[in-house]
Amino acid sequence: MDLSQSTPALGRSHLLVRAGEQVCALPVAAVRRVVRALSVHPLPGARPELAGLAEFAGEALAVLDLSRLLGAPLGPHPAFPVTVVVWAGPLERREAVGLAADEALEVVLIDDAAVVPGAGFLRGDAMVGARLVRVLDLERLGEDA
Amino acid sequence: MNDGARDPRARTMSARRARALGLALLAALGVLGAGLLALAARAGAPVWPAGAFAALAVVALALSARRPSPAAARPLAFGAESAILAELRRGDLVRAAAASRGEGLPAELAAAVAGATAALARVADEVREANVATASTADGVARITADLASGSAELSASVVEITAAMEELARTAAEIAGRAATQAELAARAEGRGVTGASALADAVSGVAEVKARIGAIAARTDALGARTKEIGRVLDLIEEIAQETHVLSLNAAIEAAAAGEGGRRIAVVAEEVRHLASRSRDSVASVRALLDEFAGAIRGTVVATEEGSKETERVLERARRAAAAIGDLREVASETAERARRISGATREQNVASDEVVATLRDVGRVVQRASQALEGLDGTAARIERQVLSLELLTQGLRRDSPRSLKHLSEEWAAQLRDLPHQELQRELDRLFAASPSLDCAYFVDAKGYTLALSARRPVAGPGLPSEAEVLGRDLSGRPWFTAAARSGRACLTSPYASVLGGRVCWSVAVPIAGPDGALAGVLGLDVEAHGWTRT
Repeated sequence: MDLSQSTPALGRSHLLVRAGEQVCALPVAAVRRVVRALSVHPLPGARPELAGLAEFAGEALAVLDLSRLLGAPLGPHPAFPVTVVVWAGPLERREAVGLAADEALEVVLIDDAAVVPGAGFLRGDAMVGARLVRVLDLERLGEDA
Repeated sequence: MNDGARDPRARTMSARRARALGLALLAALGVLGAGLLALAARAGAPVWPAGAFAALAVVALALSARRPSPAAARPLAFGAESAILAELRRGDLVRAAAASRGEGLPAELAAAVAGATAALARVADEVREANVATASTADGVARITADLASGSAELSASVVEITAAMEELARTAAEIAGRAATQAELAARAEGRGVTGASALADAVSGVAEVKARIGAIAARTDALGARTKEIGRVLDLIEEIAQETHVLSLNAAIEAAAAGEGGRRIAVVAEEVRHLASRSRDSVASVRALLDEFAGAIRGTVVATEEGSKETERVLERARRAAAAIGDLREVASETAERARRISGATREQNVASDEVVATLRDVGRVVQRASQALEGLDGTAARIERQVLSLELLTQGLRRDSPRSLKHLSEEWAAQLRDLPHQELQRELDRLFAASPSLDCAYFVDAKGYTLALSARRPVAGPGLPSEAEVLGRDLSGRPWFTAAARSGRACLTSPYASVLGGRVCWSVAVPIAGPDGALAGVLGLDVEAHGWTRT
């Protein structure tokens, strides 16, 4: 497996996570850390996809519910839910954001050419093996929000 | 009378006649005394009357042995002497005494004859009184004997009945004893089987208790196994958590390796290997957990089964305990039944022995009663003989007419004197009056010279089954009856032997006296009947 981000022939590395019944692919370059699901403090009046605030490395971290964000239907009860700490937003003003997912699966290479383009922070859909994977563009995550 | 005026020849004649009179009186007294003595000896009556006769005989002997003396030699009237002798021979003491007071008999001889006849009359009265007492006693003995014989017969019948009942009782008791013995044997067998059953049940209870204990041990071990399974589950949770953590670490390592570019390629490979390892660990944990879940399910099933088994064994134990208690009760009942049956059997055997003894005693009693009955028959015969003998003595005393209301000859003569001149229409009334005053009589009748009854008075109703009525008797010719012929022939009061009366057929004897008419011819006969079984009535 070639994990290099700059290998156009083989594609770029993505972290696959499960959110409900859907599997999302997060670009590894924007992923800071995968941790066990952080304890979230809900924010009154916040949007539904904003699960709340959590503490990570001594700082407050906004945690988004990936399933709600994608509008994915609920899947099996998560045995080991995780929080994926990513850099969201344009490169120059990116922010650390937590994405609450049901399970962290693996790191795979996805060829850009294989991605069927989407809209907004949903870059598109791609087939990884036999699975349909929704590829996210974390740089555009703040735009919709 | 003047003795001195008589000549020596006449005096000699008088003395000879006095001796002859004494000898005749002696002979008459001897005959009477011997008869009385013989009757007294047979009937057991006192013998003193014989002594009185002996005294009279001494007087008579003195008369006969008296030597003729001038002073005593009196002429004796031959007619008077023969009249006295004739009356004495007929037993008519009244007329004999009257004749002795007549003319032609010396005063001393007349006084001696009067004294002798009076003494004889007294003796006869006293003999009769004693005879009545003897007859009453004999009658009482006969009645008592009859009562005893009746009682003895009833007793004998009762003894036979009781003996039969006792024999039946003995047979029943023997049967009961046999049945009780059989019941005792059955009860003892049941008791033995109860003991065996109780022992088998106790073994079963013990076995079930052992099974229950083992089930309890299995449950305890299964619980321990369940606890261990939970511990294994917790270990699996820990391993799975570690595997998850390792998986996350491998992902982070892969992320870091990707961020490191070419320099992180090898780390990325290691991270991928670690992630695979973590994934296999998770898969293994899942497999083990699945197996453990199956195992835990089996353990839960075992626990449930052991609980149910334990409950079932408890129920079986409870039922077995109840059965054991029931068998125990059954044993007690069987034992008690056997004991009671044995007692009943023993008691019945004792009763049987007692019954046999009672039967033997009753047979002895029966034999004693039979002997008593035989003795009573003998006594009855003796009483009957005494009755016959006292009747003979009564007839003997009634043969003497004496001046006494007890002398029927005298009574009949007096009645005849009263009835002699009455018209026919008054005869019955007067006869009834006289009869009512004489309770010793059973019947009185007056018949004419041809034997046809003119008047009749009877103590009891005349008619009976197969017997003539009073009207038939009144119209019947009775001239052939023994009393009529005797009275008509003798011309004076006479006594008959016992015979069967036409009035009721009962045995009686009669005194009949002829009644002469104005012309001296037979005008009728007055008869008095006394029943053989009623003559002692006064």
